[in-house]
Amino acid sequence: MSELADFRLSKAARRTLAALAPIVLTEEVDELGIRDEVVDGVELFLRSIPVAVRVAILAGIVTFEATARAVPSSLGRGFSRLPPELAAAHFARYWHSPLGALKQLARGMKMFLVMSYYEHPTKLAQLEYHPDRWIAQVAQERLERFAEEIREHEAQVTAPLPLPADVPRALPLAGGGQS
Amino acid sequence: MKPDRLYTREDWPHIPGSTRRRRAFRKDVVELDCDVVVVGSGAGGAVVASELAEGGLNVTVVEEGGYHPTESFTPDAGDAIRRLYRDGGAIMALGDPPVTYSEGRCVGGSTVINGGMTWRTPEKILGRWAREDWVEGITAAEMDSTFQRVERFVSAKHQDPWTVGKDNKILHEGALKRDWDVIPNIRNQFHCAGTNNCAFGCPTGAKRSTLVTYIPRSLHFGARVLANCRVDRVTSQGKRITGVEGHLVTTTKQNGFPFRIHARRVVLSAGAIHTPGILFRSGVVSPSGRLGHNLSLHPNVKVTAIFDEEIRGWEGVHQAYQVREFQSEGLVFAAVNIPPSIAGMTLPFYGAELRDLMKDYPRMVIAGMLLEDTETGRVRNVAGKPVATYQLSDFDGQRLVRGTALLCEMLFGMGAQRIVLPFEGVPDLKSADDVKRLYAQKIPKECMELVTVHMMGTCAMGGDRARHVCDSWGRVYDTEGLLVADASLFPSPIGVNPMETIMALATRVAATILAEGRVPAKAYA
Repeated sequence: MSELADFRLSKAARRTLAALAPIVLTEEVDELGIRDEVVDGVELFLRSIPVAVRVAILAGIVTFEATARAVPSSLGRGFSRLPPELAAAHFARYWHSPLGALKQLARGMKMFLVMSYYEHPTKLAQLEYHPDRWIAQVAQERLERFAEEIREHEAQVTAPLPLPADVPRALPLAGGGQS
Repeated sequence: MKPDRLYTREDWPHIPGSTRRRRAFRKDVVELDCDVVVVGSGAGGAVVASELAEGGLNVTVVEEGGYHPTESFTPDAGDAIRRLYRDGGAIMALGDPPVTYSEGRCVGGSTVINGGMTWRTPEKILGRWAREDWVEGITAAEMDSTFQRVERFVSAKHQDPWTVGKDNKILHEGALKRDWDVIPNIRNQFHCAGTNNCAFGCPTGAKRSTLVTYIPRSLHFGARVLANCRVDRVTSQGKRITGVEGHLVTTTKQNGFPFRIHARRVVLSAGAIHTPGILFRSGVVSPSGRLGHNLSLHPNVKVTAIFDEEIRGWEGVHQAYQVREFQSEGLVFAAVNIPPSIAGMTLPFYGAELRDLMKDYPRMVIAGMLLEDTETGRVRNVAGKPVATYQLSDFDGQRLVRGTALLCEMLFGMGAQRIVLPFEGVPDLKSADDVKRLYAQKIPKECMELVTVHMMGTCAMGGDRARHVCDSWGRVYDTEGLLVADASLFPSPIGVNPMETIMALATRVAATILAEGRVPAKAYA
């Protein structure tokens, strides 16, 4: 069952994040052919966070895109239209900014992209990270070894066991009142 | 299959036993009646609900999150965070540095996503609560049978030794080599297989969260659980509590069905951030003026150590051991493997530097440190939402640096080649000699990367209504029928994982309600 908000990234925000992906994740993201899917993953994460935080992040992405225009070498282009070296320099300015808000924005965008990237099955396979295999193996071993004990234990979950008298409790107050 | 009497969004508005009241120009409201409504289904709420239901009371549990059974848990960390964590786990206590905190938002609450450490409250802490906060019936001797009961229900045991992974063995051997006190963790598990998926839902059910213990027990004894339902406020007539109001949580911007539950008593178990939040929204004023104050966090930092050999930290149980050598200083160490997505996002690099470091993921040992903090923060009500603020003290900052240095020394002693620190701008360590530099260095606390999962203390219990929000039994001072059963009650941080303490206090709260007996409905008409 979905717990996620009904939200989609705007085309402009997608463009900014897609342009940022090779800077944060290196060209490897294109070698693996998963740049768009990484941005999809960011969108999925944004759907799980509070509206106010999401709005703040989206405003930050718009600001990040637009402030590139103020840099003379950008010739008035937004971040997503910059050549790679200028785009990398723009992100580095945010990353190393003495202004806390800009620095936090750079870290936030990096975190979303990295989280999405390192969740992608292609990337996980490259890392040889296969926890599902491990889980399947040890879960099976557990069942083979302890099936009977587990059944008995599960049956105990609903067995009656009234609260004993020696659990500390307040004495009833006269008139059923409250402290 | 969904259990009987557990209702999710899909079941609304046809909840058995409810009535649907039509209102002019507003959405219909769904109304229910019960003896006790419990807000939250984690370590506090599920325990209260279970004990009260077994004691014969008509109990309704209201849980904001969804119902996700054991079969739905996988190693997909992102999916789990989106489904099981409040706000995608991306919440911060504001301060410099901010502290990122996570809490569960699902049936079972944070017990579904915690590491499963099950420790009794240290005796010195119980003694302090009795002595300084005048909490009644709280000495270790008085609490023994309560702890025993909790330990029985959640199967608090040592881990089967063959499930311990290499990262934890390194921590264990490293501590022994230095002659440090290191102990096997007691965990709420039954033949845990060591899947290392605790933080994303145990896929075998071996971790005995309330999802697989107290919640089924509550349902068995007749309680009703309403998932996907958010409580907006507690309702009252004067000081007498009459129930709660809230709404069904939807995935759109629109609130779902409003509901009203009439109850003789309300138990808030929404955690140390949201319990005071509900009290604020309900207009409850504590005579102590301390509602929302006294927030402790047990700030955590982690170091990432790279070894030459393959570690594969995901193979083996989460936190098999705790290093207790420095517990008197408020420091506890453990090995805490985290998946690549979370490891990568918290490392202070990007681009080629991050890519190259992450290639070493299978050779990483990630070790964490819990600090028993001395400073407190606060939860405030901002536009109807609870907002936490917390400022790490200089003293605690120094202890975090010392603890990190000790941990690094131990890891280098076990063969670590490089250690990435949780302090931004401080270069990685390459050898034990570098650690000496760390001891000597003044590291500004603003550059520390702090996280926590232990929020405590915002409705502190105690015997003095001028200092405490709740009495010794969780009853909110100056109200009738309103109780708290979660980590909000802690008068101080406890220095160990708080789940068992919460469960034990919740058992006391339930015992108190049962001792008071069923309040006649007409008294609240």
